Amino acid sequence: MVSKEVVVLNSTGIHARPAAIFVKTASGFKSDITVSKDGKSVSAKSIISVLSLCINKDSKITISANGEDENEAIKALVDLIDSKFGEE
Amino acid sequence: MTLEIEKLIKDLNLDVIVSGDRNKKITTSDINRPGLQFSGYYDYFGEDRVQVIGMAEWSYLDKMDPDLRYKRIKEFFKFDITCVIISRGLNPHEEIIDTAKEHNIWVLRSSLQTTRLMKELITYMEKELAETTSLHGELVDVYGVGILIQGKSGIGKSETALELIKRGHILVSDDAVEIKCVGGSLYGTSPYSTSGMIEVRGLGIIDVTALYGLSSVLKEKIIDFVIELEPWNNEYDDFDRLGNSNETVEILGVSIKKVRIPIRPGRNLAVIIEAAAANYRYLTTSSISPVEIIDKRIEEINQKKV
Repeated sequence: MVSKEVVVLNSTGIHARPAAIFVKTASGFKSDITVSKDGKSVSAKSIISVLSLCINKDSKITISANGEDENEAIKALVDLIDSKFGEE
Repeated sequence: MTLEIEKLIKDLNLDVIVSGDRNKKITTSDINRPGLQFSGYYDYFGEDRVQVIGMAEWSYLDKMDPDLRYKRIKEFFKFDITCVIISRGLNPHEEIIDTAKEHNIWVLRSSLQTTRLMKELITYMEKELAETTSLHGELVDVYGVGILIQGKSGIGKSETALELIKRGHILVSDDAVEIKCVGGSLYGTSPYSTSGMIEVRGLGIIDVTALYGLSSVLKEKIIDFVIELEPWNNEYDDFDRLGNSNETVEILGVSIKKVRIPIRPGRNLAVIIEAAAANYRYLTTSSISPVEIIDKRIEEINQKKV
């Protein structure tokens, strides 16, 4: 299992559009992936779950993956957040 | 878990007589009525509890000699008290207001009668202070039975919930269920931002309330049992064949019945879940199970033969 804490940088946070990209990216991996914020942990492969966390700009979240491609999964998701989902 | 005094004031509609320390938090749902403390007895004093002053304590203070009253109240507020609530809309004695201000302790007031206030306080605080967790799954109400449907991502939980809604059952939460344990029962709700919404692969997010009406969604439901959807395994199956398995799962320290249902194309899951709900009601009200009925019948035939 690999975990990484990241701070969300893009101005809208993980609202609908970024959430869809995030969930799509997560679903491309075989590992079980979770996102947690303020002690609440949900599946990173479900859009409803990710949206339920209300992740805003500057929110601190932890992404964890468990499975054969866990390292690649974490890297892809962290890169996505660091890239601000392509927003300015 | 902790509860902020300002939230308590807002939710229970209390008057603020003295504003105390804003960082002070309630940590227990117990209540103390400080009659004994006003008489000078401080062994076993629950200072961390909410202190409720009712008519009895108020009139006891009222009849007291003013000098003694001042002394007793001073002694009381020396403790690290969370907050004081006066019931029946009574006016607190000036000594209480002055001393509470001095120690930065909250003094609040409710118009309710004391027992009524205590009942409301305890119910409210138990709920607010309850342990919580968040689980992956669908929470639905089927024939009044609260069922948490779990299973791996992509196994068809949301689609099953949608079919149940179409059949007149009720959605509480899709995918993420927030659970609170109050008095040994597990209360499930939906996170605020996504309540009434469901994701169906290929369609995206749909608004259940808008499409199926207000009666198709519910804010909160006690979870009666858990259904785990599992892929059908042909080589080896350890599914319950008699309907008498006592499999359980633990959520927030509460042991709850778990039913594992194998899925494969062509199995109508909504019908099976309806049957599971009806069966749950049957088993909780009936004194005999189907397996026992069959055993009895077999015994009957054997006895006739003898």
